[in-house]
Amino acid sequence: MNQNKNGTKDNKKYILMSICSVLVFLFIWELVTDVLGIFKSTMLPSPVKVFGTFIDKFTNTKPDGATIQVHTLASLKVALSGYLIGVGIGVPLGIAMAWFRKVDCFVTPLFDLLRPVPGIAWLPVLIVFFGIGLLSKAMVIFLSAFIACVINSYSGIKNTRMVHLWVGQTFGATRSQLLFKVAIPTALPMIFTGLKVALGASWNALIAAELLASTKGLGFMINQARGIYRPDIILVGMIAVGITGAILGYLIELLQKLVMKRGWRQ
Amino acid sequence: MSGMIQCEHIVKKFPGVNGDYEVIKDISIEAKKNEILVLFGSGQCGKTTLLKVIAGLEPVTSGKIFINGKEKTAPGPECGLVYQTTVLFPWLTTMGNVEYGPKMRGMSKKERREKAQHYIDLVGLRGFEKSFPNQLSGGMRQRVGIARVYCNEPDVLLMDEPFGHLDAQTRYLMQEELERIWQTEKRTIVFVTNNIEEALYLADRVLVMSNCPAVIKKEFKVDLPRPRDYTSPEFLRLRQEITSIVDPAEL
Amino acid sequence: MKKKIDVTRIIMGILAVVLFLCLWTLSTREGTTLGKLMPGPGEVFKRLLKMTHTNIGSLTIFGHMLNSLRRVLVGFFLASVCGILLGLGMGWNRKCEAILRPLFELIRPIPPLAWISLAIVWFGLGEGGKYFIIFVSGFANVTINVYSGAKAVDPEVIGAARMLGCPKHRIFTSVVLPSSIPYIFTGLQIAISSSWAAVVAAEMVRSTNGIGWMITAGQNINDMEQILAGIIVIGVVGFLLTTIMRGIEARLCAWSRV
Repeated sequence: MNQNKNGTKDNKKYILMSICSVLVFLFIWELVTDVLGIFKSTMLPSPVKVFGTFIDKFTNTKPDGATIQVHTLASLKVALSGYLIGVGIGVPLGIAMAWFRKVDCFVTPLFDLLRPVPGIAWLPVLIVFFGIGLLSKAMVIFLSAFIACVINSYSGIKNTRMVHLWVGQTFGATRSQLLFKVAIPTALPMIFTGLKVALGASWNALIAAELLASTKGLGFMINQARGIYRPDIILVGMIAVGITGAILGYLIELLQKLVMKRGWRQ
Repeated sequence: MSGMIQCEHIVKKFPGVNGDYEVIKDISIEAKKNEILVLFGSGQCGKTTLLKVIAGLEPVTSGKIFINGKEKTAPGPECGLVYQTTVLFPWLTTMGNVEYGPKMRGMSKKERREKAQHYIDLVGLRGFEKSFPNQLSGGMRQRVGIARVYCNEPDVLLMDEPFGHLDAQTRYLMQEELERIWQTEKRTIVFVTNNIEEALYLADRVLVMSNCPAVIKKEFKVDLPRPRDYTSPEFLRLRQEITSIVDPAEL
Repeated sequence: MKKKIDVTRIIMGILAVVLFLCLWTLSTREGTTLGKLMPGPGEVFKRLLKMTHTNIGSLTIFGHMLNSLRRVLVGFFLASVCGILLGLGMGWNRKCEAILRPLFELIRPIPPLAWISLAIVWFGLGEGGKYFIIFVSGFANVTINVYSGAKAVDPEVIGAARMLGCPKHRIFTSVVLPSSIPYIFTGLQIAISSSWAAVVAAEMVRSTNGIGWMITAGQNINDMEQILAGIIVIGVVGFLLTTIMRGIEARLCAWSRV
């Protein structure tokens, strides 16, 4: 009992420390910018100013021609279209590569050729093909998401315990039953890991793509702000990107809980 | 002369959802120098907890433990524990594991290598000095565990069902090996087991323990000549006697 | 039996690659629409050979490659050192965890490449900004993995070390550090590939040399051969980097394989 009480007391202490740590961080940031002026606001704006700009950006379309909501939606549209296609093709392909020997032998070498090239490197090729519209950016994101999905679904299926397959076989399961009732459920945690990794990769690629070729979107906003030395807008953009990414990540987490709530051990 | 191990009125409780859960209820144990003391009991009767408490890895709720006359409060080299499933350092080779204790005490490399080699030879693992634990079989790992503890020259060796996870054949073999090692270099050993033959084969004294909370039911002195014969009439008689006092409901 | 399986695998693999190259050659032959946009594999390969002795911009392809590699290695090294230290610190010391974890979690959701603009504002257009971007790309990966490694240390093993006479202050170097090594390598493995991706992106955004610059330069002068040659080099170097990391890992973590 004694230990238990100590435990919760300790936890409270640590939570308090965490809160203090964030506050101290913000305080020091404010101190070195606004108060002491060590960093000029063209280098590092104060947290107060960043917060102000953030609020302001909801209504103000200057200097990049749109409010933050518009930019976020534009980014989301590109990112999600690329991401969903990447998942839609990547996950089934990864599963097929791991399950069917012929597909494995034939596709894996080709995939291994593609794998080490980061998605963003294809942007120039895609721009030549499709111009600097949504399509080429969505393709970059598609490639980034696709690779992560294939790798994770592939190793998820490959990790299926042979014993489980044998059990299935002795009960007379057909090959497709084995795939859908044994292998895919085993691979689900890995597949979800793949979805999360793919999300991070696509979000990252999106920003790079928008920095390079875009007329709207959060990456574009950040890039414009750099040109006119407004680091406060850069930071606002980064925060918006971070928050949106975190929300998307949380949604996948939620989806995973929904799908895997029955009988999966964590 | 007082014993090598003296446990006085040990009580151990764990905090639980419905109040405290008593695992050990007022146990007092004494072991003489170079004696093999076997704690025999079935299932989950707190034997592991008792050894961990003696080794200083778990704090006692009340009671006192003395090793070689000194009170024991924290884990240290005077008490060596051989685990149920070997807790070896997976990143160290056999040699690295065995020489770990002396190394921590700052013994020179040459000296501790020689010493470790001696114990590796003693447990019969010559030739496997450079193998990592994941390359060894279960029995070999337990041998490394024993050599590691022996090499550290503790006053007391605590063994927590060290052969429990081995197959029957290896288990007999390891019992004989342990006896041989102990005959070569005598130590005070507290050995926990749920196997009655193992208990009688090794023990100078057997303490029969009851199930949760753990208390000592009865003590048996075993003075059959060593090495013992599993089929001798005395052995079988003792075996019968111990079996009769173990509550079948606990098994 | 096993060898025979490998043979079919190799044959199928070669077949796949050859088929792919044939398809590429056929679809880009003269007269097709794709042919106007894209060179065939032969042309790209010839260009690649030519690049080894003629300059693109101010350097040969090796010069660009070495520049990119230097950036990756500097940034990666800094990220590894900081990530390992922070991860171990947070995983082992609860105070350290309570103080640093929230700050780390605040920064983590921001995609590394989103720092590019800020890096340019802070460090200018030179090398500093690129090192910073690569650092940011690798850092979080290393930290997270090392952190979970240091958290996953088996308390039984710590107990065993204490029982064998390891003093409290040496548990860290003697148990926590070595048992985290496999996790450290997982982190480094991910970090090296994301660092490589980051250097390409950073060079594409702002640079005067490096492989990333080479492909954007190709795009600007509409030279598809140069772009594709650059992509091939990026792929090969990326592959080599991860293979080397994997080799080091296999040697150092032989004990952790089941």
